[in-house]
This record gives sequence, structure tokens and C-alpha cells, in this order.
Amino acid sequence: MTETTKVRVPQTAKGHRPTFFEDPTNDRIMAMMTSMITEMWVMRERLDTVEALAAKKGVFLEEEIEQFEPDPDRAEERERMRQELLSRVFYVFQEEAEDIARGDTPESYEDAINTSADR
Amino acid sequence: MATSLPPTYDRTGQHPLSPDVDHDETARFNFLTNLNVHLNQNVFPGNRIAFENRVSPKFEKETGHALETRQQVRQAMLGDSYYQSWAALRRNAMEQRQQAGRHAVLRQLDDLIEKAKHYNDGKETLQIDPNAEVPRYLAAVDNHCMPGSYYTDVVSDDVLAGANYETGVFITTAGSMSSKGDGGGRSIVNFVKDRFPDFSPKRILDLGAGIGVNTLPIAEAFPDAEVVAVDAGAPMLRWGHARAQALGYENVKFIHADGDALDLDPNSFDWVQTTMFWHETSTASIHSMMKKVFDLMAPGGLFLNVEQPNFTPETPLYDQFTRDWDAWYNNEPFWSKLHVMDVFEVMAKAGFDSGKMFDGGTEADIEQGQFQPWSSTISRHKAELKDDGDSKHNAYKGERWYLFGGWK
Amino acid sequence: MTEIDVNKLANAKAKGKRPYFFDDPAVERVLSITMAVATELAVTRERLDTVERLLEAGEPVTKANIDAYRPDDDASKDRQQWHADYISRILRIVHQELEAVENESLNEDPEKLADDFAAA
Repeated sequence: MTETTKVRVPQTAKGHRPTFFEDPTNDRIMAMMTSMITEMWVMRERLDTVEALAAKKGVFLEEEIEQFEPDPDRAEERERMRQELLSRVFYVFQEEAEDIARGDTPESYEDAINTSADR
Repeated sequence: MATSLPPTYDRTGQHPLSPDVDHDETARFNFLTNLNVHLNQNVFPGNRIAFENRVSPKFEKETGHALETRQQVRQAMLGDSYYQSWAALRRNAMEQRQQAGRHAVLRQLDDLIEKAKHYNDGKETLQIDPNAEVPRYLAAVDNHCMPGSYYTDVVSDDVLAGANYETGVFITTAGSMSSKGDGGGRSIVNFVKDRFPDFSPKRILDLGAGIGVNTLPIAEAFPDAEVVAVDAGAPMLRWGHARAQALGYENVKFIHADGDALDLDPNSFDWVQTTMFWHETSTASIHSMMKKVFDLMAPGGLFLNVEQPNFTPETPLYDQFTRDWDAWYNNEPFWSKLHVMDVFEVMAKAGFDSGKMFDGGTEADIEQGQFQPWSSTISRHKAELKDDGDSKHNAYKGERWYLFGGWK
Repeated sequence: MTEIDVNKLANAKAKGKRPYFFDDPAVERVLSITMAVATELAVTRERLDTVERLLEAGEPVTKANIDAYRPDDDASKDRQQWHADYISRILRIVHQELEAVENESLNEDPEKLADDFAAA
């Protein structure tokens, strides 16, 4: 094998990337959201393929899924899963509320650092 | 360049006490591990570029002089939008890791407590002191952003802090502490066996041992020694003791105490070990604890500590700023102060003879096939060594453990 | 049985002020939620991968089988590679910005270029 030369593989098109929001972070979050919507669709389509392949083998998942009624245990399990999902996704609000309740401020943290030498 | 891949969580070492981690919890750990690796390998390097190409020139233009202190660097970087994004992403990744580990443990907490009790009840090798005081350096903020820190009991006989700590080490370090998380302890043993081949301690004390993850390799290397692990966190010790018993380590005693208030025989330990512990204390307590350590050591005994090396006048400002990050944003406030302390002066004040002090580095000891060390952590750095001899353990190049210590 | 609120305790905040890195705290919140959603999507994708592998091996797709599934070395690597690639895609914007900070020539302002071209 010949010695490989280091080639810069561009990820970015030459030319200034415009930012549209006052805070460029909003552009970043929007870009991340857009990527995730793509990912979400790729996954949805993949699931559709699984259903189609199953149908070819005589397992009609698509219809069965539509007619499926969870038994009480599973329904309860799903409710628990939904609650947990919401709790994970929105954890930052709980953190903020606890900060406010405890009175933690940037100044109190700075104080913790500055007095760590004396304790 | 392809990013190296960490192992999946199912590759970690399990023991009879290990929490049941279901499919989606495993997947969440796998994702968060990758996120840590990605942020460190691919996003973090951009901070230096933003610093050199944008932040530093802007500061010079505005003030007419160069950045002079790491505090100035921190303030200047806080205004840079790239750095803001990295920092917020890293903080989020750490919070999600706590959430994921705690949830997995909390949903089966009753079972885990029962399992731990099976190994703990009636054993003299576990001493929990219900009246032990939480040292102020632990009480001020929850270290490592662990809600409740090392010491909070959520319920009686609680093991949450210990079980969550063990489960999450894999995510935070991307498996670079080995599959059992004990790479630090095994590296310490390698260092001691190589550098002091005739050393054969009969009593060993590990101070600030947590769940004893780094204590057990020491107990294994010296099976005839009596090993004592001390920590200020009761839920860490309940978990650690049960874990040690389940893994068959019967020569390790776990004692609940603040280092300052340790009630053990003076002149009785041939080896006192502290591992990644100093940075979670305070100036006043490290001085008094080291006096205590010196007092507990037998004449001719060894003291050894593993810690990040401190700054030297040669450490670039940007690196100082980076290594202070966890002090400011990962709830390890004292680290910022420790980075500029003279640790050998602390030892000298405690009674150590400066002619009997040393430092060195040792390779991280992890099994083949696991992830390489350090790739998920931001603490890569170089250090000036006190002793610059020929031993392979002296060459400290940043991607190793740094150790310092002394003989009594 | 101890009565504890698992979700609330799992989410508990560590003592010590939480740093907000952006000027607007709302931005910090939105980023936080976005990253949590990113995690959930990855978890679901890994689950689907397990379902496929069970089907391929002719195993019944039950919750017990899904939880008991352990990937072999190749599958373990494939799944980690998927996460790594996925994260690269989600954080594409951050990398693009890094390239632009690293290399100013990638950052030419189109308005200025238009003026330059018109003048030539």
C-alpha cells in the first residue's frame, strides 16, 4: 500500500453559512432538529419495510397492528413508558425548579469555589 | 478520520449484585457513551481553534494586551458561541447520564437493597456510623453533578449512590476504566510491584475509597494483607462492601467515617492509598487529613496518591482553563484550587521528609478489546515530574495515571 | 415496599448552581430537550435493530427476548457505529462551524463576493 497523503475532506461548503436568528445557537438547534426529523423518517420507513417483509411471509403485521388492542397490563405499561419518556425529555425544567427552590445562584457556586480553600 | 468506537454496555463485568439493565436502558447507556466520546473527540478540539482564531485575537483587540490568567480565558471563552454550545452539550450529556443510571437503579432499589443486605447483615467487615458527620467539602455542592452526592440516603439501608456510581462509570469513561471499572486500582498495583518489588504490606488503608472499585485490585495483589476502605458516604460503602463480598474479597473492611475523624491505631498501616480523592476535599481538610495519614502510617510505610498533576509555569493558559472545567461546571469546586497547590509542601507539613517523596506515571491497565483510555475525558495533559529517572514509570506523557507519594 | 417517586428522584438536580451557557436561558432549555429527544430516538433505533436480529434468527419477538438479547462482537460494533454516525449527523452543524472557524477562507461573505465579482 502506498503512503497515504493527508487529504482534508470538506464537510462544509465554501462560503459563509448564513445564520438567520439573532442568537446563532437557535440556528444550531434548528439544524439538529432537522437532522432528527430525517432520522425519524428513516426509522419509520425501516419499520414499514419490516411490516412489508413480514407480510410476504404471511404475517400481516400492518393489519394486526391496526386491530391490536393492548390488554390492561400492557396498557398500563405503556402509560408508565409515556410518563417516563416525558420525564426524561423535560428533565431540565425539574432541575430549574429545584435550583430556584434551593436558592442556588451563580454567586453561590462562585462562593463554593472561592471558599473551598478554607473549609 | 473514523472515530474509535467504545464497547457496548453489555460488555461490562457483572456480579451477583449488578442491577438488571433492560434493553432500552442498555441502548441509552450505549448512546450516551458514544455522545461523550463524540463530544470529546470531535467537538471539544474546536474550542482550542475558537480560542486561537477568535477569542484570543478579540480580547487583544479590545484590551490592547494578551490574555494573562486562566480566569480571563474562562470569561472570554464564555462569550464565544461555539464554546457555549460545546459546554452546554457536555453538561447535558452528564445530566442525562445521571438520569439514566439513577432511573435504572431506582426502579429496582428495593431488590438491590435486599441483595446488599444479604451480603452485609451481621458482617464485621462493614461499619456504618449513623452519627458520622458529612464533611463540609462534600456538603456544599453535589460532586460530579450526582444528585445527593455520595452520602444521601434516599431510603433506609440505601445503596442508590453506590449502584448508580458503578453503573455510570462506564458511560462517563466510555469503558476506559476497564470492564469492571477498576483500571485505576490495577494501574496502582502495577506501579507498586514494578517500582517497589520487595514491598510487602501487611495492613493497607484506602482513604476516600468510595465503593472500593480501586481497592479490590490492591486486596487481590496482596491477599495476605488486611485492607481497610474508608469513605464518608454510607450508601457507597453498603454497596461497595456487598459487591466485594459477592466477588469473594473477604480481606477488605469498609468503614464509614470522615477522614478527619478516623479512629484507627497510629503507626499501624504499611500503606495508605488515596485515589482521585484530593480534588474533592478542601485545603483545610487535606492538611489535617494528611497529618492524620502520617500518624496512621507505620514507620517505613508508604503513602501513595493518584491525582491529576498540577499546573506548572509551563502549562499553557488554554490547557489550564480546560483542566479547570470540571471545577466550574461539573461540581468539583476545589479542583481549581488544588491545581495550583504544592502537594509536596502539604506532605512536608504533615511530617513527610522531602528526601523520601517521589512522583511518577503508570500506564492505564485495561483488558484487550476494551476502549482505549482517556478518549472520553478532557483531562489530557503533560506534567513536570519531580523524579526524572530511568524507570519507565517516570515518563509521564499525559495519557497515563500520575502518582505521587512518600515513605515515612 | 418503599414508596419513592422514581421519575422525580431520577431527575433530581445536583446541589450547586446549574450553569447556563447561553445568553437566553430558553435556548439552554430547548437544547436540553433536543438532546434528550436525540437519545430517545437512538434508543428506539437500537430496539428496532434488536427486533430485526431476532426475526432473522427465527426467534419470537417477545419483550423477554428483546431484553435478553446480547449482540455478538460484530453486532456490538455495528450498533456502536450506528450511534457514532447518527451523532455525527445530528451535530453536523457544530462541525461545519468548526471548519469555518478553523479556515477563514470557507467563510467568504456572499455579499462581499457579489461586489467583488461585479467590479471585476
